Amino acid sequence: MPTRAVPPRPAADPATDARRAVMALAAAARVDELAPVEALAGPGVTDLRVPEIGLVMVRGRAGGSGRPFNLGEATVTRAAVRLAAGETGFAHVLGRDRLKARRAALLDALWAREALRPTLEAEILAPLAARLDAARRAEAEKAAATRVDFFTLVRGDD
Amino acid sequence: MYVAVKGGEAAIDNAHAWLADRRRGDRAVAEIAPDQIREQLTLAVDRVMNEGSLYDRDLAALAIKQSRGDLIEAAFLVRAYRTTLPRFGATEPLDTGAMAVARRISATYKDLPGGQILGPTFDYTHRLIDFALAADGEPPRAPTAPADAAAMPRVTDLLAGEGLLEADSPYDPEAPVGDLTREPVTYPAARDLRLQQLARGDEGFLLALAYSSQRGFGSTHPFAGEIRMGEVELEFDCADLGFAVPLGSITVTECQMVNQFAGSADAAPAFTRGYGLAFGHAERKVMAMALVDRALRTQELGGEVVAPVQDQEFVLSHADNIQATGFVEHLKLPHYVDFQAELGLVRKLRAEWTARREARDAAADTLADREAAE
Amino acid sequence: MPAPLAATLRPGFADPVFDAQAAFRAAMSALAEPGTIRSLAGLDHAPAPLGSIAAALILALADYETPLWRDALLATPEIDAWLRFHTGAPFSDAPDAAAFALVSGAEALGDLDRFSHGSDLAPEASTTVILTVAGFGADTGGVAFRLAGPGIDGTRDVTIAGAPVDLAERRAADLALYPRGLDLLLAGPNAVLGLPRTTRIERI
Repeated sequence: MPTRAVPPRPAADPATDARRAVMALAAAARVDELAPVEALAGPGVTDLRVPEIGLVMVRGRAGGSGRPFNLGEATVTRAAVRLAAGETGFAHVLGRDRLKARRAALLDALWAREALRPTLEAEILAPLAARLDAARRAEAEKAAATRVDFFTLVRGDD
Repeated sequence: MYVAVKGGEAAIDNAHAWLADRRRGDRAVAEIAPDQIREQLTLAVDRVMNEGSLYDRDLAALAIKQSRGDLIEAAFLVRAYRTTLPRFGATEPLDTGAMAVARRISATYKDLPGGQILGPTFDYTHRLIDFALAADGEPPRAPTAPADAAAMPRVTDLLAGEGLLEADSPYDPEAPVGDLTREPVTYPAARDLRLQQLARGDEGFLLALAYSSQRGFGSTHPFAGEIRMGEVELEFDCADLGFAVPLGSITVTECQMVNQFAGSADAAPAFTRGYGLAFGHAERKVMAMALVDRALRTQELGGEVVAPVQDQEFVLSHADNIQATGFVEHLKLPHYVDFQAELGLVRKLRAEWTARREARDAAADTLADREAAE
Repeated sequence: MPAPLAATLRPGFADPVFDAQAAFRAAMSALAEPGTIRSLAGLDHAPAPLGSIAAALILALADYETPLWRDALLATPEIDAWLRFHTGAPFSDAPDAAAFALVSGAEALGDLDRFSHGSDLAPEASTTVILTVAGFGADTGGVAFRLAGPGIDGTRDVTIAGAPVDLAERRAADLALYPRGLDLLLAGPNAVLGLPRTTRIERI
């Protein structure tokens, strides 16, 4: 079977992969699902980058795997914070929700504290992942119900 | 010539107030909310995102409300909004092969790895008005079936191995990607710029062009190799962090048209391809786009440009409905000075024409008199 | 993966939209009416020796599509990290490839010809030079210049401390290039003064 022409992603270390997975969950979250980070972050947070709405150019590829082209833009909100203890956190999330971007940045900063990870998992990440998985599965099951097999009918004229 | 006019501020303010009042409609009827538009007029939202060239469902829904459902006006509002925002960068090219597929069909292969998924489609409906929608009552939930995690490779990737289908252009991550929002298009335009213009182009214009090619004005013998729609993850290569940051996912529709190609002196007979990609669920748009993309490749594939759909400048410079509506609709704005000038010119030409005619008639009369006298 | 962002990274604008608009407005007014002194809120916490006014101007003007050149004094790791984080602008080692140039003082300005003057087709593609000066006004003991040209009713006299003494001569050559040319923003301690390509400068 021919291989896809999509280039392999640059190899990332496990720590970066874990951090990216947290970022992916935060990007897919509703703003209220990230609310616990406010209390966990505590006082003394510096907004290195006050939440800011902007654009990213979304790129596609000619034919699916050929040369990239600019498909159109998407709104993105970004934020960066530093906790009182010095950990920095970054966020870039689709949409225009400043509060969500700031909370996602706080989550990224808190993730740097290894001792806090079980708390983050239990309070935020696990319920969020469960909701997203259920939503994805529900969509996939609706799609599966529309799976179709076309039969080619034999022609009668030999 | 453009000449500024002044005045009419009060009339303009009142006209806009009446517009807002008309937008509201009969106040005995509940007002529509943007989230209702976002959730229930999703295909209008998708069209505005495409022609506004900005993926933001809430913003497109609000623009549709503001424009009273005029989708070109809504796209115009979205385009204006995007000019107020800084651009942070570009995403990694999205991978439609890794799509969470909600719909995936092929008109060329019935047995596909991963199968054919109809998804939420108007196909096979009878186009009968459903009066039940005017009555109260929730529709039933969509049926479900056990889902497997079968991979759904793109059909074109399956076929490329046999050499019967042209391969995609090689991917060089360092090569610059043309951007017509930054540099004006010059002709001939490379395919990246053509696809960008088609992606933001007017669906109706692309549909008409695609139809013209099917009817013989630049025929390309197309088959719908694959149409797929679903969610893809976006990643942003973030300089601050040095790795690709997940931004969230968006819905896109992709169409791979496969076209018969008799070959040329340099290329063996094979199937060539046209490509369509759009935000949201935009099936008609991506099918038309793929047909027009293939037609615009006529010259590069050794063909002769004989039809409008194959003419890059004709297609690309007229595809943008915001530009088009700006130029067409500006004609209704005051042109009093231009018209006065034209009026003066036409009066002068008429006077000259009348004088010439009188002189000719007079000469004819003189001649007739002379002949009568002889 | 680069080293983690220094824990010392400083914030940018407190309100990115309105603060950037205010700085942009000051720069635009300064270029529209050359020689007028336009005060603006600087970024006092910008990493030294980048001046607070130059810092506010560059954060307002530069983005990831505008290559940035800075002189050797301003190319410190801390300033680089701060500029990269807040503007996203790529650094250019070639002055003539830069959309913006940050210059720490008259002695670092060098030959103006090394910056891009744009082309006749795209005169706007020139380098905008942000030059830090010591101050404006007669009480600064600076050099007095008489300005004339578009945006000036007759002439306008300015005194600039820390500007190159031969500024008039160095700008004179540019006038013949119009529409090509480069625009100069002089960043004082709390204000900006614009000297666009169209301004005639005479030392008095």
